[in-house]
Amino acid sequence: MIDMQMTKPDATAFDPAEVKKQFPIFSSHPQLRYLDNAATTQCPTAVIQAVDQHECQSRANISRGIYPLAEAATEAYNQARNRLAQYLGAQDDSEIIFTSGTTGAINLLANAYAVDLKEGDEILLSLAEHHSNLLPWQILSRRTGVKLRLLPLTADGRIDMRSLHRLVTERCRLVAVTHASNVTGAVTELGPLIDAAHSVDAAVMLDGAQMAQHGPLDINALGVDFYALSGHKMFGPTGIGLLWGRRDLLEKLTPPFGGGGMVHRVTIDSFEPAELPARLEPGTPAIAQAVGLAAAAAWLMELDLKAVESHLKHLTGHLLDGLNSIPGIKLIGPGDLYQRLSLISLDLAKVHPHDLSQIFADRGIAVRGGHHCAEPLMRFFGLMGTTRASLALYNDETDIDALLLAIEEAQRILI
Amino acid sequence: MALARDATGSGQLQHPRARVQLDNPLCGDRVIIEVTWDDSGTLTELAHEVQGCALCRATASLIGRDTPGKQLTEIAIAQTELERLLKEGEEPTHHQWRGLSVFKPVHGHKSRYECVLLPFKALTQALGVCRT
Repeated sequence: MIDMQMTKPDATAFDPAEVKKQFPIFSSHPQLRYLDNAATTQCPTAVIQAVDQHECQSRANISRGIYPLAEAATEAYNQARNRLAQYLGAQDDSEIIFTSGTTGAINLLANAYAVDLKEGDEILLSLAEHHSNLLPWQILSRRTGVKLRLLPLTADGRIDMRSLHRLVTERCRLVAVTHASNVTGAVTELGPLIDAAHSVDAAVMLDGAQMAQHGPLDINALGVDFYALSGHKMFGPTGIGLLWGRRDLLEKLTPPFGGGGMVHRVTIDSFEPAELPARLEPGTPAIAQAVGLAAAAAWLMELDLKAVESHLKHLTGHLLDGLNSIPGIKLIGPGDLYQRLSLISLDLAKVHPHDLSQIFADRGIAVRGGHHCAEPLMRFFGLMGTTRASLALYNDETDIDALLLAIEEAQRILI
Repeated sequence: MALARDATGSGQLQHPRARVQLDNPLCGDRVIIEVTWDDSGTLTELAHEVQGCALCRATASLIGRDTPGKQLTEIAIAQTELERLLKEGEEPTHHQWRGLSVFKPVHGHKSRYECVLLPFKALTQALGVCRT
């Protein structure tokens, strides 16, 4: 993970045009200005070819067949797991549980916790959470009587740690928060959170959906216990993601879902689950997608990530400067370039986010307008929704300038 | 945009006989429609409150302008006409709903159909109350 505090924006160290050539979508749509990367990043050729090659040369089910094709598929799937373990800095491949994405990973964890938690236990979330890190816990709460507590936010949308020690009680079993917000871009301050949680033996899970595209993690240095991410937000395929967990904690989870491939032994009225990771991956997994996600991780690991981060900081600064010069715009999230990711949500006075997004769309600019699956956070800001521009390494200054120009045009048309 | 700005019929009725609130879960837009009708099956009054985009506000405004004084059976045709216009690009066939043509540019923009339809869906639900 790049230490953003130490990175200085530099416009010259990185050539997005060269990277952009690796993304076929921009050949298919040469006029496209794609600024919806917080929703889905595009796929480089390396990922597309990896999926294509697997499906053409190694497609079979895994872990069962003894013919060469099945062995090749099993090997590809296991190698994918190994690559993702490297990406996260995990010591043990079996700590990687493939899921359908971040949502699937958090639901898996919530369902596993639901087996063992009891009424009166507590789970601490924050007001900044994506619905994917809120609804699974609400469902768990309804099933078990577990109490959900919420960390409040500062005025600029960062998780406010001042009430941490009041909210992390002896009954707290899990702290589940975003690593970086999909609305504000705010990066969560982890140190106090982890210390407080561990002081009462509560585990910490991070929703890493927005962080995953920013390069390899050192998961042990982060100090968390569980981490969820999605492939489609880190240049990989859709329908694949993972839950990483510390092995000792994963082993304690009662498998919440059953099916083929996750058992040692089955009788008519009982079963004995397999070892990790199979015990938490019932059924046929998304094999080609896992191979594609591994290719994305490998592709990211080959990049000069400091240069990429510097490029993104430069673009984010350029965008913030431009937006600050346009009257009537309210920016959502931290003003400090170094406390946020390269995504910016804005509210343009008297203009609905969908109308603004439509103006952008008519000019080939792809952004997201709406509540971004974070309705409680929108209510905190007193908004129905925002318009969000989220950047990735293939964006350049012309994308930002086109966006700024379109906002001025929107003001003329819509106000 | 002119239709949206006009906001014809915006507000509340003192004594509505039916009140329906509908949300668009995709964007959080909200429409509230209030109506009254008489024994002959004529819509006598309509008011709406809209938290939504320009398309949603424009439809509500059109409803506020064009539906009072019409028979409920005539109004029921409008949503069908509008859906055909959006999905097929076909102009309204009933002369009293020619005004719906203002939404023809939305044809092909599938993600915006619900923005246009939301006020009509609320109105249709309100009329359903009337029929029962």
